[in-house]
Amino acid sequence: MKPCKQSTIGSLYLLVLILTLFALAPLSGAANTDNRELQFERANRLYIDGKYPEAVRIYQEIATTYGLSAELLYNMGNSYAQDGRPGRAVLSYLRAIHLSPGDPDIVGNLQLIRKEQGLFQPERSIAQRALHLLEMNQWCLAAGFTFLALTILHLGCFFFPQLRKRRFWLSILLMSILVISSIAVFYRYQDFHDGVVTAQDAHLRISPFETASSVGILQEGRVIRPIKTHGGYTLVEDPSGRSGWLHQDQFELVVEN
Amino acid sequence: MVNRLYRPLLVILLLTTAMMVITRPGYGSKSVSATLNENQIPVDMAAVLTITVEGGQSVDINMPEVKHLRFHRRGQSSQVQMINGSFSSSIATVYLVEPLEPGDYTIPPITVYCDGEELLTQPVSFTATAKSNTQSQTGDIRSSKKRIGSGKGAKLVFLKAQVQKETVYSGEMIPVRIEAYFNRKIQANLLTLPKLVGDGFVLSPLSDKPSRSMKQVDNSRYIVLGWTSFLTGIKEGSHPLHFELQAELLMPQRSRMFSRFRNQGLFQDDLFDDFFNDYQAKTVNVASPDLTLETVALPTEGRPINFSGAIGNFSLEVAANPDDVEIGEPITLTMSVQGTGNFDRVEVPHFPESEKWKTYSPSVQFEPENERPDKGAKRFEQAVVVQDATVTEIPSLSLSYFNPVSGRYQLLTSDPIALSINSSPDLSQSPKSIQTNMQEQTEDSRTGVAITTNIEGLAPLKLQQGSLSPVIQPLFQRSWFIFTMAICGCLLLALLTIGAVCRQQERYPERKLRSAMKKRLGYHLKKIARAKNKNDSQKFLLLCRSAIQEQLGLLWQTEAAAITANDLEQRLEPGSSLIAVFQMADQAAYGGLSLSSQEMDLHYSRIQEELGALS
Repeated sequence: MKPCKQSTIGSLYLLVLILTLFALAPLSGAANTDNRELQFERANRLYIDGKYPEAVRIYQEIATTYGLSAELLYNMGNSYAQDGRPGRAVLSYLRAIHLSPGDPDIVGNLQLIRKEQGLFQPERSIAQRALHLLEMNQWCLAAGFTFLALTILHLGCFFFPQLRKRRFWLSILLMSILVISSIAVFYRYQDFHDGVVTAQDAHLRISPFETASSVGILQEGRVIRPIKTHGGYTLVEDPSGRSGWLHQDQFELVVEN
Repeated sequence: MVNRLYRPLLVILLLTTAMMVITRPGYGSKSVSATLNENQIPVDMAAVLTITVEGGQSVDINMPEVKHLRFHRRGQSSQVQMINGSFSSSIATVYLVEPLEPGDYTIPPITVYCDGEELLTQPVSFTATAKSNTQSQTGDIRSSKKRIGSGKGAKLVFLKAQVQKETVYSGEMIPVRIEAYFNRKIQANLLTLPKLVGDGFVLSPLSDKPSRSMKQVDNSRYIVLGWTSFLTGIKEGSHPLHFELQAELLMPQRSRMFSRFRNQGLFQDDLFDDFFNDYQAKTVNVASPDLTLETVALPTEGRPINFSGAIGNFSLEVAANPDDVEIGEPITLTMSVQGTGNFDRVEVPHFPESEKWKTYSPSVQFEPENERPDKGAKRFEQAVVVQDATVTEIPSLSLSYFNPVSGRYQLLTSDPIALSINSSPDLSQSPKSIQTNMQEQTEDSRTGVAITTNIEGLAPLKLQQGSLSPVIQPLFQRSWFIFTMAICGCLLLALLTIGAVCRQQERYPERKLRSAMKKRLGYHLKKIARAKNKNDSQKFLLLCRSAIQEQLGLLWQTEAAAITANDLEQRLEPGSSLIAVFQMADQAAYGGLSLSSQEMDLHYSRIQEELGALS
């Protein structure tokens, strides 16, 4: 009888302990959230006081410790822009757009920085302009919804036979949207591999060596597309089609692998 | 008979093919070397750097940057040789190395990309000395050459070079026509392209495909290979120069067996002479007669400040797009310089410096006319931005060049281009107000304080942090999206399959019927077999009747119970065992007929067979 009683008490203690841990877990999360919010507010205050490098430092701490959000990256981009580092500002805005496509504040500030720095985008064809109407994740969502609609349509035809008359044309329409969206997703996914020049006077070289001839200078904030790497250099192409080797310290990928 | 004739031919063909396969050019092992023809180079002269790649088919060279050294690419030649049945190939690329200051130099290893492989040359060292006497050096070079220039050789093969004028300005390009004459009676292989021997001039790369024609010279007919290229004077003074090429001549030699005929052919016929003659291969250097060209300096008088060295005759066209802009909006200036001359020295037309304008680096594109480097159009595209609402036009752009015909500098100026500046409410500010907006606070770099730029017009900060995610991930890589799409995909696939099956059944209703009949028949046969095994004749016959009724009812689309023996007799073939069994079942029901075990086995197998055939 005694051992049985002891084991019951032991189990009760264990149960109480587990329940306590479960009860405290949200509290610890809440403490984390509070700390994060405090840091964020502190960084915002530093920005308003004109202490941009300090603000950037705290935003980066939050990003390293807790993760990224469009708002955090946007504020970081503003701080970089005010601190006279357009390359990093463009990089932060582009990252923010990937998390919150179409945010007017992010898009507006990115355009402003590009205009200030003379980072003009090359003229796009009509097809390219159409593909740039939405960001990649938006196209992806459109494709997903279309696929869902296609499934619901076919499901509906089982329960509502009157739908069958229109099934063919509706399927054609949805399939067309799905194909276009998928092409757009594929095209816009290339942007995920882009990088941004973060150094001033970044020399584009004909070979991956420091002594190689310079093809030209890439402006800070210019978007480039990496092709291949060799040593500490990456063969990149800028939007005008100019290519050359760029040192890896002089640019950063928008989406880290 | 036919086989006998063709067999030797077949053997020869196979042997030739085998030889071609075995002795194809060996591109397997590759090596690269860089050689400089002089170890000591005066500052005002250039040495020839030859980069030779053995065993390659295509070569791409990245020249390094060396301080106070300039490299001029002069062309590329390739050679394929067969020695003792094995082929070897080499590609030689020639650069002129021009030191700008005296001193010891080392050209670092040069990267050569050959058929996708990266090769490095050995470093090359040399010394650049102070300026020296040109004439004596040239003489040394010339005296060291072994060449065919006169005598018997000159009749077999010779080289000619023609220039349009003998006095040129430093940096001016003049056309040169090089012609190699080969006597029609000999066979010759060109081993190298003509190369320039001499200093003070550089030769533009020659084409691998020369023009080919036939000419009569001193009663002999010659095959003439011709190249048109350009010479550029790079050093002032009088310079003797000539061209050289290397060729292999296959010279006919009279065979010993016919020497007894004392210089007379066997049949007094050239054709038979050629047929019986041997050929001897000889490699010769062929040189053109010396040309003496003089390079004079460009006049200093009247030289414009922004003169870039362009010599020739040019015209300038400037266009702007758009011409209706807002402040800060970029305008693309397209400047086209057309004409004849040394386009490599033509630089972007000068845009006057002004606080009202912000200019960006231009892009350049040269479009040669008929592949001539001295004729065509060089197009510059430059982005410019208006920074002041008072701007009304794009100012005149200027380009200066030297005209060798008139011997004077000329200045090309474009007409101003009228602009329409739309002043939007928040951007219609003077440069001063823009400057105040861009509160540039630049502090001394020596204090180590960063430059702080306050940009007006940025949208304000976000006050909420939003939801955090560890990485930026495309939507299609997120698990919830993949899961949803997978469910949709499976569902859609299942619906499409079911739909297809339903459509199939609607299209072929008999298939459905047969399937149903087969299913029911199986069920009935099981029950009949059970009755048979129990030796219950009564039940056996009753089950047989209901099975026949049901199967035929399904087939005839009638009520099964309403089918009688009479129906069977009318609609089935006479003699069918189904009729007999049906009648026996009737007799059993009303007359007490009983079957033995053997009879039940026999009827069972017949029913199974006949009803199976129906479904």
